[in-house]
Amino acid sequence: MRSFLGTSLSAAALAVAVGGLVVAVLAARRNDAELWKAARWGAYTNLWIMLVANLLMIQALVVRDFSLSYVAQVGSHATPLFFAIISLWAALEGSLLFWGFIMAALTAAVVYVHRESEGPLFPYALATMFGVGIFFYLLLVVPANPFASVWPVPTDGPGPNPLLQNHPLMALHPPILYTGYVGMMVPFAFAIGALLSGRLDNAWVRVTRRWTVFAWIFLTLGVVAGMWWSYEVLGWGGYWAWDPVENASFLPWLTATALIHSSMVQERRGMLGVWNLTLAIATFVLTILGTFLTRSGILSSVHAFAEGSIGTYFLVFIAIILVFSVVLLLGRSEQLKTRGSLDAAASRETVFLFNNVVLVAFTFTVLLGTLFPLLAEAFRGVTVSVGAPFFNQMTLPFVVALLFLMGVGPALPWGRAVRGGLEKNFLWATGAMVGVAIVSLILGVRDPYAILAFAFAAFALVTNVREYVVPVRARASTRGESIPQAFGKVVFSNPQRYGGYFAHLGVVLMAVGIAASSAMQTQHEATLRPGETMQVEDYTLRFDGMWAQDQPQRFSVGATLQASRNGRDLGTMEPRLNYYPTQEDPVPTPAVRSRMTDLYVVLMAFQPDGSTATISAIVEPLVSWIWIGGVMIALGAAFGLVFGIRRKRTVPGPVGEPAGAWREGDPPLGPPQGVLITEGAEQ
Amino acid sequence: MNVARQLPMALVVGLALVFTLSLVFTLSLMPTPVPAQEVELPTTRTVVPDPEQFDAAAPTDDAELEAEVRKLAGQLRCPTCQALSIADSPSELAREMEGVIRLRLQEGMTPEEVRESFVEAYGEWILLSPRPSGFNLLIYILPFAVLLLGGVIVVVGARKWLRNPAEPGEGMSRA
Amino acid sequence: MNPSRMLLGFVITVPLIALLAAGLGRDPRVIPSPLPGREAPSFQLPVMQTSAPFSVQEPGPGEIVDLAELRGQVVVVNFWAAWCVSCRSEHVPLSNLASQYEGEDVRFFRILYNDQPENAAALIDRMGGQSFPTLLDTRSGTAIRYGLTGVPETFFIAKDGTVAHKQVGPVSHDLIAQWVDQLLAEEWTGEAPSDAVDGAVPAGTLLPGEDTGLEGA
Repeated sequence: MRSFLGTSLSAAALAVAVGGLVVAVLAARRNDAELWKAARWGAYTNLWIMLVANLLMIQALVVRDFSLSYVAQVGSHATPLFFAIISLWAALEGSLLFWGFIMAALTAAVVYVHRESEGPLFPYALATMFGVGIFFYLLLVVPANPFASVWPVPTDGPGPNPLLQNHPLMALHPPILYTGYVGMMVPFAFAIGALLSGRLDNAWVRVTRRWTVFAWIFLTLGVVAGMWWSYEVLGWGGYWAWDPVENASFLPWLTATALIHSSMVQERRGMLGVWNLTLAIATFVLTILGTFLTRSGILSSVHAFAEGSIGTYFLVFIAIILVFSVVLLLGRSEQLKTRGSLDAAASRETVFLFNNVVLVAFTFTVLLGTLFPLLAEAFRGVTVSVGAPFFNQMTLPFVVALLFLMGVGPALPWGRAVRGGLEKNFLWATGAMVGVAIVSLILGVRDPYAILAFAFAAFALVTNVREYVVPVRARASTRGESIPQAFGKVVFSNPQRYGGYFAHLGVVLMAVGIAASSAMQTQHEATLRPGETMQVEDYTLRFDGMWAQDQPQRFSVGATLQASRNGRDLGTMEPRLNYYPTQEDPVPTPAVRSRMTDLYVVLMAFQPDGSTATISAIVEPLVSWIWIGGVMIALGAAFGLVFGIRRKRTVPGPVGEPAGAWREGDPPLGPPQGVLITEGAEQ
Repeated sequence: MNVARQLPMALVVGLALVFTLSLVFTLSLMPTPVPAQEVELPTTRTVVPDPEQFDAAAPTDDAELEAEVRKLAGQLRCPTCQALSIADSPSELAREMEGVIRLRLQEGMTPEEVRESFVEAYGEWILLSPRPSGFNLLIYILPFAVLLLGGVIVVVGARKWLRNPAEPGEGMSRA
Repeated sequence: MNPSRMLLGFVITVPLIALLAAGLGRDPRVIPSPLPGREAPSFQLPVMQTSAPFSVQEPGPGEIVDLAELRGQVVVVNFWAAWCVSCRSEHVPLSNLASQYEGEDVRFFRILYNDQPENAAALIDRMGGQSFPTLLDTRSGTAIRYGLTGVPETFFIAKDGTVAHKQVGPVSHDLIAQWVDQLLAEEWTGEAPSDAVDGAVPAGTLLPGEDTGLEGA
């Protein structure tokens, strides 16, 4: 019954998407408001269909209806309720179903937000989203139907992958990441919409930017949550292994970051049109490519959880998107030629151009490294690996360059305007950079990567912080406002800009956290008898004994350790090993104590009689900065997005803000600088 | 103002400096290619599987040796976990492999020979950074080629665009 | 549309798609072993203590088996562990074939990987004994030199001491028999058995008596 109902729902979503595509294209071509309305209803309908389908699957997972192939695959009577529910995304078919829901929800949200809009851009964009929808609903109906029935009905199942039921973070990471992935469909849809409609002015970029930022926030959080999960579950003390799955989430993040920056140039100067369309398309293609790489199982990965035989479908889909987009883009490129112009070489525009070059080369490097095993096999017939040592070396120049540009960019104004204090600004920043490098050397940092990262992070930190300090001080002194008041006024006067700087500060924090935790970690492994202690840096761990716990879905063995630092008691730490019936190797649960410096303790092995335990302890400084930095990036972007939209609504004139408006609050509000900027704006 | 005119140059020079430095770092840290013929391959060497001998595989107090072990272990891929290095992997096999690395170094093998001995048993697959030679050079060169190409395009484009100031209103009305 | 632009479009898209298509048939978990065609890594390993005696082979518990002394005989080396579920299906065929080939120039050994000898001995007892010895590989030294990526893995070593074939995953009765027959036969030509699932042995690299050296194929 559930099988029939669920499959029918997927099929209905597929039918609605096909119909919606046709109606939306007709609506665009005939510029017909009724058809456009009908197409929108299609989008809303699919949202409800997918919602019901997902709820149906969750219900099946909760009641353990093993007659459904998906439940038989990931369910078990022993799995706790919470993990039974989130098993929705524990394997391929369920993740696709959930993906379908997010996609339907986003499509509905986009058309709802732009329901009043006229012109062919939005119907074409909706048609594109239906097109993407057709692909995913097709997967749900034919090769990866989660509602397929099994016969004979098994009485119990294996339960979800042990790695996935080992941490509650699995409840957050996939939904956030999927929202980021699916969200990148929106800029793609608008890019295709713009190309199809021939409305190649900047309207699509303005609309797209917000959706890109929206998706980018989720993608950022998703990537960071993935790192955190990796840190808390995999038990090797790291958070990023340059695994194909991780790369798959990082690649679209890089191009989306490039798009967010370069679309600002188009908004302001009307140039880089083709480039932005390319980036929007590339970002989406990379999300699909990433899904393909991880779902088809052509690259090995520690967390290839959701493999399946749907590779061919993805391949055909990628081929269609690529050929369609490239042909469309090249066909329109004559029309798209914009007259680029720069007023001064020393402007933020120039920095953004360099930023794009670096980000694209960065993307290329990661993509090449990820696909290289395939290349080597095709051309040399030899299986090679491309892993962390390669990526760490090769991407370092890009990270440093990005930190450098992130420091230069904010200090330079748009256009040709020059304001005083530029030399002073860079002097401070360079001073900080050199100072930090020297201090790190004195403090005993010897890793060249880390020193470079610290130095350039200091550079970016100073210029970005100055972007707050200078206008706030100017405003406080000229208007007699208190510092917090002036800060609020300044920040809210241009939420996008100041949100952006906050995100930059998050990047700085993250870069420092990554460099410090990887270059300055100390690892020590010891086999202890009860009462014995081990020493890592100034931490002492005393092994008190072993314990075991039998749970329905697993059997856990833990060690109790008493941690102290320089004699000060830090409480007990209980790293565990979890044994799942379906997996030979135990899944570790490290005990982590997160402060400025993390103490990360893993139970590596033990004697069954509890007489000894082998403990690996890692001391990693500043790991928490990575998580804080990640959240700051998302918060900064979200601040700009939320308050930026509110501010825009209050600005009269819906299309194209008047020349003066976009600079509102743009210059620091101190009188001398302000005057100069305004002159610049008028050219 | 002077700063404005000099800044683009400073920017380009700064970027160039950053890249040269980083490139040098990268290249200096790249594993040195070992010509397969010249190294005496260690298959004929017998690791005596005596348990007492193997206890020598436990971590020692020799900091230099341990650093070398960790460095090598970081370059080799753990066969059971696939994306992690032997140094990072908590799996049993990886621990044992680290012990073998230590043992072989103690036997007097050079780090290159130890690395080759693993390639011998597992194939090139075990190296986490492909050997920088022949076809593999592509992944070491292409990224910087793309970066260079992009830089050239931007510099050439910017020079063209600089001679091409926006007409009053143009950029703004389109923005 | 301008044909040269069209061409550009294809130049961008076709190679990428072709590459992905080429990769589609690939199983990333298969790690091709460089060992076939090379001299088998030597080992001297002690025989594990079991309660039942071996029916076909003479080295008793605690004795050392040295691969170098087995030149001129075909050697089947199977890595296994008691915790490895898929290794259990190999137990009966290996035991039967070892008895069946008794008296011929072929020796069977299992090497215990990453497990306690007591566990392995208990499992062997439960399965009704084993006709040939299991060797103990302390700290996986031999396993690592054989490039082991997991268990079960089985190596077929030719009379001249070169590795003829590496089988990842459980071996069946027929597969073992085919390889053993092939290697026992005088006219070994390097051809793989007709239905062996192996493509790793390059034809012609393993002529009898040929010095394969260390370079391999």
